[in-house]
Order: sequence, then C-alpha cells, then structure tokens
Amino acid sequence: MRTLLVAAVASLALGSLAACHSKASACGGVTGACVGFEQGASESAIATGFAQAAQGSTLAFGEGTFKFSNSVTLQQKGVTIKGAGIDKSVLDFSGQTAGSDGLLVLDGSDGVTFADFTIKDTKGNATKVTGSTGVHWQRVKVQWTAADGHTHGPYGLYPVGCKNVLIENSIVIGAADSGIYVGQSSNIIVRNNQVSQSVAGIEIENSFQADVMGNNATDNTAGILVFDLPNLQQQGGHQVRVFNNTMTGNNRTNFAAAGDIVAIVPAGIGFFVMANHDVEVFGNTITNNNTGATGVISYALTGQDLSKLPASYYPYPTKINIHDNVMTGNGTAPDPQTQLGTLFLFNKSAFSGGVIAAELYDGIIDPNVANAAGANPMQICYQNNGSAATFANLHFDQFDQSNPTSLGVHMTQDATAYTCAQTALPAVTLP
Amino acid sequence: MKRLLAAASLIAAACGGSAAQKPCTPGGDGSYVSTPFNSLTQYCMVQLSAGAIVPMAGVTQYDLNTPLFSDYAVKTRTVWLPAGKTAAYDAINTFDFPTGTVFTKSFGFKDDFRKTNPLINWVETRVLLKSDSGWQGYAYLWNQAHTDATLDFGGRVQSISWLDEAGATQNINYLVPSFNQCKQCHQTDAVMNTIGPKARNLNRSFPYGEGTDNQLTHWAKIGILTGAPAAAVAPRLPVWNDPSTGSVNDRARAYLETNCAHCHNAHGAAASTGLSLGTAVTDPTAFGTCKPPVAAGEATGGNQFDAVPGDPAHSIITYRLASTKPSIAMPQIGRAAVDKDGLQLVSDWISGLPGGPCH
Repeated sequence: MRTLLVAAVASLALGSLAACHSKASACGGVTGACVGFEQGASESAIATGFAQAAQGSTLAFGEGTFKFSNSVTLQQKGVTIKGAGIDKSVLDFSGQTAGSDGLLVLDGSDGVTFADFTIKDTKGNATKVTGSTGVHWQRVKVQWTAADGHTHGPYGLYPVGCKNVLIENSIVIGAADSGIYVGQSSNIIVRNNQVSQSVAGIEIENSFQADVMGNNATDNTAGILVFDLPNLQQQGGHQVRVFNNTMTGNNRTNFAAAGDIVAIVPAGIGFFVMANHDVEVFGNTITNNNTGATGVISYALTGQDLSKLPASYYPYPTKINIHDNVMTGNGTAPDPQTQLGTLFLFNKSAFSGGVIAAELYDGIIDPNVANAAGANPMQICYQNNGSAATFANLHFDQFDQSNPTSLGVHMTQDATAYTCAQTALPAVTLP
Repeated sequence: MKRLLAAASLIAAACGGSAAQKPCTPGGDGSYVSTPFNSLTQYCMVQLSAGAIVPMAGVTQYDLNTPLFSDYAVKTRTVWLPAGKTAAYDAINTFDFPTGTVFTKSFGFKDDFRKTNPLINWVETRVLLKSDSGWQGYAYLWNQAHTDATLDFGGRVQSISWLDEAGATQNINYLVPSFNQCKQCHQTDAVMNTIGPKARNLNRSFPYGEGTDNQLTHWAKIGILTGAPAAAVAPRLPVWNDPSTGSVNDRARAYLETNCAHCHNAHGAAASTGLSLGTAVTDPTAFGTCKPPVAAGEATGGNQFDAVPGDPAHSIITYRLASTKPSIAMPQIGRAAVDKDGLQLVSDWISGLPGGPCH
C-alpha cells in the first residue's frame, strides 16, 4: 500500500515539475511544491488538486478564465492559492450550481494565503475561511457583475472564527452584505483595500484586536462597521482601531435582504460602531455621506427585544474614542428608505444647521453602570473632528416610537460632556 | 511506472483474485485498508447484483432511523471492521470504531417513482475509512455499465433525472462531493468523523438474511460492537416520517439533527452561526426560535428569524429548505431537490413551536 502512495506522489510531483518547466507556467516563480492549473484545466482537475494539496504547497492558476459549477473546498495547512494577477487569473462562478461559497477553506487550514487573482459571481460568499490561524489575502479582487444586486453573494473576503488575519491590497465590488467581513476572529489587520458598490464596505463583527487602516470605502451603503451581535460563540467585540481610511460618498441604496443586520443601516453612513468596547477611530477622511458621518449605537437600535438577549451579551457601546478625523459634507440628505434614515429625515430641521450631526450617539445607557446618571457614563468621546463635526445625543432612551418627531424634541446637541480623550489603543501585531 | 504496476499487482493479490474461487474479503489478508483504492471493487465491500448494491461476505448492511435526505436517492449503507476488532458503544456520540473500519454508502436514483421495481441508476459509492491518520472520505463514480466505480477526488455535478409519482420528469444537478467537501460535513473541530452510526439512529430492526433483528443486537452478536445495552433501553431516534415513532416535535428535531446538525453544532462547519440543531439542544434560541440570522445574505428571504413560532411562512429555516438555489438552499451541499415531506414536517414543527411572538 505504501508503494501505491509513493507512486501516486511521484506521478503528481512529475506532473507539477513538468508544468513548472514550461515558460509561462502557473507555477513559474514559485518555490516549493506547486500544482499548476493552466487555462483550460478542467474543474475536476482543479478540485482534485485542491483535494490532494500537500501541506505547505502552492495551488497556482495561470492566466485565463476558469469556470466552476461547484464550490472549491480546501482543508490543509500552509497552502497558498494564487493566480497570475488580478484580472489575469479569473475564477468564474457565474455557472455555479452546487455549493454556495466560491473558495471555501475549512477548519484547521492554518496558514492559508490567497493572492493575485480575481474571483467573480459566486452564488454565496466569494472566499470564506473558518476556524484557522494565520489567514492572509493579498491582491485579490472579488466582483459580482449581475445587474440585480440582490443576487450577489453576501461577503467577498470572509474569515470567521480565525486568528491572525491579514487582508491587504484587495478589491471587492458589489457584495450584498459586506465586501470585507471579519467575524468572530481575533488579531486582525485589514489594510489598503478598496471596497465599493457593496452594502457595507468593511465590517468587523464580534472580533477582538483589529486594525483597519488605509482602506478606501466608497460608493457603498455604509463605509466601515464595527458590530457585535448576540447568540454567537464569540461575543464582546473590542479593541478595534479604525484609522487613516477614506469613507466617502457611501450613499448607495441599501440592497441587503431584510433580516440581515446590515439591512437596518441607512444609506449614507461613513462609520458605525455597535455594542463594542474600546474602539478608536482616528485620522480618517469621512466625507459626503448623506445620512451621517459616524454613529455610535447599542443593539437596541436593531429593534430586537433586549429582554431576550443572553446574559453573556453586552448590547451597549462603551469606551469609544473618535478623534482627529476629517468629517465634511455629510448628513445633508438622510436615506428615506430605512427606518433610521427616515427618522433623521423627519427631524432634520432640529439638527444644528439643518444637517444631520456628524457625531451621532444613540444615548442608550446601561442601567447597571454605576454612574448611569453621570454626564458621559459610557465614555463616548469625540475630539478634533473639524468644525463641521457637529454632535447629537439622540436620546433614544426617551424616544417615543409612536411620535417620530419626539427624536428632535429629546435629543441634545451640547458636545461638552462628550468632548474628551482616551488612552490610545495598542497596535495589532501579527506573528 | 514500475512501482505503480507493482502496487497494482499487490492490490490484486490483497483482494484475492477471482471471487468465484476465493471469497473477496475486505482487508484481504486481515490487515486493513489504509489508503484509498482506485476502484471500488478492490475494497470487496459491495457488489451489484440484479440491479441492487449488496454487501459482500463479512460486510454488514445497515439502515438509519432518520437518514440524511439526498435528493430522493436510494441509499445502501455497509460497514466492515477488521477481523477481531470491535467498535465501542457510546450512548450519545458516534461509536469509537477501530482503525481499518470501512463504511460505504451507495447512492442511486430510481428511473420511475411509480414502478414497484424501478431500475436504479447507481451514481456513486462513498467510502469512509479509518486510516492510521483518522477517517478519510472518498467518492467512487459508477461507470455506465455499472461494472465498477472509480475514485474521484475532485467531485462533480451530474445531471440526474427521473419520473416522479405523477410521471413528470424531474431534473437535478446532483453533487458528487469532492474529497474536501466530505470534510465539510464530517469534520468536528477539524477532525473527520462518522455521522450516522450513533446508537439512537442505529437502534432499529433490519431484515438480515438469517432473519430480522435489531441492528445493535446484531452488531453485538456478530462481534463488531461491544458494550451495547439491550436495544430496548438504548436511545432511539424517531423515524422522521413515521408518526407512530414520535411527536411532530420529536420527529422534526430528528430530521433537523440528521440533515443539519453535522454542521450546525458548536464544533461543526456552521458553528459560527450560533444555530445548533442537534436533538440534545434545549436552548430555544440555539435551535432557532426567534433567532436573528448572522451571515445569511439573500437567504433570509426577507425574514427576520430562523424560526418564528406559529409562522413557518416567515421562518428562514423553512425558506432555505424550500429552495434549491445554491445561495439559499440548506443543507449547503448535497441537496439539489426539495424534500417536500421533510419541509412539511419542519413547517408543522414551527407551527406548533412555543416561544413567540419574536418581537
């Protein structure tokens, strides 16, 4: 039996060696074991390559378009999935009939890397990795091209339950939920990516220790979201830094399916944080988002019944530090197609200058906080966000649902108690 | 090449040459199968006889109380353990099978659901074997002549059709899973395992050649299972479509367990969703009651919760069971047709589910 195995490995190695020696081969320039897929390679051959991938090996696509009818699944440590470059190697799932995700990497696939290819029109998520340590995307482009955004997959680059995540220099266009979505993970860097035409550009959800920097989120429904949701294995999102990003012109009509958490987000939002603690937002350029530049909200704003939440879940944002950002041209035309946007629209004239405040805080206080009656018990701080960065405590705690204009009556716009500084959060370092 | 030939002849030797002269026995010389054979016949597990998949000598066929729905496929399941080895009984989890154990599950489609004795188009046989490095799953595609099935690592989508009860043609894109897709369902905390052969799902009778017997009793009797209690006191999963075996709640939970809980458990592929559908789960939110979705995308169908008590028409679980679109359908792989009766059972369960309203 051992002989058979040796024979099989030998024949595989021979095949890939041969591929490596031809001039413009997929494996060209790769050091170490590599299995190449040249244009015209059958889906079966590619899936077989993924099935038999050796630990630490490279699976390389050559230039050209590769069509798939089934998800491509990987479970192996240390594998690099690479192409010849964005728009040079295109993994096309427009004819997919089986499986939901495009590239699905299963638990225990530590050290997986995606690099230098385009993946388009997957039915579900484009690339998803679960339960793995050391996950890296670089120079990957995800695109959904169908005119009807509702048919697009939810997430483009999607690690969940992972540790040591690096997502960089990638592009996502047209995600029906979040272009880049990091869920229930820890130790994360998301940098220098571009996301457009998606509902949320980037979402960090139920995650710990994340640096989101240098990204460009333009022409989405909302730019960057930092959320925490109940009933999940990892809750209590915290220590997230969002800095030096551009969140501009995110005014795309929300096309998420109702029921998805992002469906509540009004079009025209730069940045939202929900139910996290220790979040620092600085050095960003947040401009021309028509509903509002930033929002700090509790889970109560989802409309869910707080009395049914598990005791393990904390629905309030605390220790949020939003400072030294550029916030201009936001809040001029709130989204009439979402509940929250409509509410802002109803009360637009109550906001200073008739423009929705750039610093929106829902004002819902944890009743169990020792100083709940204090001036700023949840430690929500704003500072140096420019003269256009007006503040509003929306006082949703006093909001009367039967009377939409009560929002304008109860909200307060004196920023004094919320003009404060917090200790800078530490940078994330990857091993 | 010389080596490969040598390996091939070794395999032929292991399998004992002509079956007419010498019974073909799994594992041949008594050792076990540790790497996949290229052809299914080399395992000596099953053969086609008069259009049916039948177990070979020393191989035990079995059924489950509530099986996974697989696009209306006919399924034949077998197990073989190395000589002298036994599985250790467990009341809750899958049994601890010895290294060398081989399972097969063969998938075939009836040509015409109106026929009493339809022709079965056998498409694939999946082999789950326990090697030194743990369980591994492989799919073997039957050839057109149904003389043998060949290992297919990559998986493929096959067009399958049949005539349904009304005589209408049904076409599906049947998925033969890739090697890694086997893991998608069979992995728990990144370790492959069996799913079906648990005490509660095996605890039923089977028509053996020598007479009908309870499967747990039979397995103990033939010496492949140790530590099993009397079948009457062993746990028993209801038969999902037999009302005499359990309430709607119990049968629906059994159905959800076998069709969903291999991923939807705290250690499976869908752990991150927080939706957990094993029969032992008691937290109503965890099994879907008024639970908002997490990463469903368009698969919410515009609905707010996985299960809305009393309102299956607005529940995401039923929405997804009723769909065959890859982006919506659950289970995510292995279901290209809608299980109408299963969907009805789950709808009935949600109709009677306590805990509403959700808002």
